[in-house]
Amino acid sequence: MATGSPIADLSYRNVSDAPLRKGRTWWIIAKNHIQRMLKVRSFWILTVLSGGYYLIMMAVTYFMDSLLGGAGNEQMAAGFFKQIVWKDQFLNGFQFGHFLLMAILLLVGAGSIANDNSSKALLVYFSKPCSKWDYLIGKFIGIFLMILLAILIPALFFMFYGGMNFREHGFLSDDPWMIPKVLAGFVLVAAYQASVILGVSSLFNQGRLAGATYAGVYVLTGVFSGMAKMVGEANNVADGVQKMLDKIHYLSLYGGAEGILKTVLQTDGSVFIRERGNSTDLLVPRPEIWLVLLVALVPAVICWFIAYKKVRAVEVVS
Amino acid sequence: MAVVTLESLTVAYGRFVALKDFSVEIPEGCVGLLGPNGAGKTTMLKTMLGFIKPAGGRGDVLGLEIGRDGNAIRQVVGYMPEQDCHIPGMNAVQFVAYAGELAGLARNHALQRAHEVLEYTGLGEARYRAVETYSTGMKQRIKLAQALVHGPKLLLLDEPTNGLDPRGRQEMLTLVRDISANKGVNVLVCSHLLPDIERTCDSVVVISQGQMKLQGGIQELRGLSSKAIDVELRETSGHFLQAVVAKGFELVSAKGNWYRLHATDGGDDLTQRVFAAARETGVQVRGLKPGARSLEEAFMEAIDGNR
Repeated sequence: MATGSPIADLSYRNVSDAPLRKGRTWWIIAKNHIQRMLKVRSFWILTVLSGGYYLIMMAVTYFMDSLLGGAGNEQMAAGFFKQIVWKDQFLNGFQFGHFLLMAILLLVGAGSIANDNSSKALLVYFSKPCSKWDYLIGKFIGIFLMILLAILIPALFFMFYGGMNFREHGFLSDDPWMIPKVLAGFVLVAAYQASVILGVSSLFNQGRLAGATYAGVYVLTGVFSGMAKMVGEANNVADGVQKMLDKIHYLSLYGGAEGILKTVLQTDGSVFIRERGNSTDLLVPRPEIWLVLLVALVPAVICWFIAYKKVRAVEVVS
Repeated sequence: MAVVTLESLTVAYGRFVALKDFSVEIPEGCVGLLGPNGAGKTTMLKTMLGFIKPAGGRGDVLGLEIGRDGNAIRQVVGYMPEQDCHIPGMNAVQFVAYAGELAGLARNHALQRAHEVLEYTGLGEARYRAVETYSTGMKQRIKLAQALVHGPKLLLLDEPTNGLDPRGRQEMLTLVRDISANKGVNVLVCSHLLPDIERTCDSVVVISQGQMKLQGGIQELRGLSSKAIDVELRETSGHFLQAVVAKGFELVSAKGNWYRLHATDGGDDLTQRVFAAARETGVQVRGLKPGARSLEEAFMEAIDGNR
């Protein structure tokens, strides 16, 4: 071969008996997505910021426990801890950080399929022994695990802190199933959000457009459902109307996630700085199962259907 | 042995029929798939890979049935698409290793193979750069590398010299030739550029309007035509041309004193008729040989249906 030939290594040989991997194709895709996202600095910054509520709670409970308790005000400290519904703190933590969690979702999910569409990467995926389900499940698992990680990391810190310090104040004994419920709730929330962003991402050729669309729907449906709550509070409406407004509260992307979490935790929520019985006017009761299915499962299934229909190796015009 | 067999394959996009009752046997070696734009070449490749479901007919690739054994086919086939395609946010090594893993290679082996094929395709140290920063030529090479990484037995190249400058084109063709001739990989090159096919392939399949028009070895297709004859005169002569036309020839081309004549009838006394015309018009014939077609002529004949 002449000097300067593109064939730099003539010892190259094609292989026919290469050792094969053991993992499934969808896991290769998910693993690749996760590995790349874990290197994104903003993911970690947003994750830490989204756990702000837990940090505040840890600081406040530390203060009340060590300073008041140590200064001879044990009764005052005990009274304070008695007001706290521990499992609700995880709901509060999620509510506090939901906008940042949405930003994380956009970061890890908006471009997952849209960017592949723009760079025609689907041709690479589907020219390999990779089915459409392998691709979609791989992308879903990649997004799901990342968003779950972002929700769980701060919560696990709080869980560990509470378990180590506040067992005598009912951290584990108030609800023995609290930890499994919290974990199950977060898993379902992450699965719901990952499903929706997967479908939205498949509709676009640019991650930014997919992200902007998801954020727009998230905010607009949030404003709509938030207004329903405000109307009810401002007008002191009849019980029947209030119940309907409470249902409307969950008709949003955020509402779906909140509904799942409240249902799994079996709580209406609480605000820890108030007496347990007096905080209900600020809270929306947890939704019925059918409403959770309507606002969470139905959109998730629709988004999966959209993604399945939109993802294909070549654009076929019928 | 045929590496690809298609029988009465019909592929339609709605009402538009891209491949119509298409049958072909692709032999081993390097085969060119020739045809004008929109002939159905890419559709054929995509159908073989299972991207498009045929409306009728059947086919197999390396003994595996299209439609039923999609994953198994893609395990042993490498595909270099016509369009630029890459996975965003990766450098070439990561991209090709990932492609290898998708194709079923173990992670460590995929990484090793990625380095090997990128070195082979001439990307050298540029393989550590983000793919988004690559030139067109480099993108073509990385597409070839991802198609080769898992050691395919059949390589499908869709317009491999698309967008390349003359030097890049030469280098790509050298690579393609080396892969098929020295590395034991069957190659199907899809192109509308005749010189590319002529330089790299052993045989060609010509497609037009979704139907196979011609198939054969390059030498065979370029071979002698029983109806064509090349005549060299001492000097150009219009009278001679009128005389040969009267004797059942048509003028195909004229280059200086050389004329390519094509017999329009079925007679086999071409030489005698040429000499008769020369005698009548008093011109001196200096050279005479059976006409050999260029691949372009064979292609045009096939496309026009004159063959």
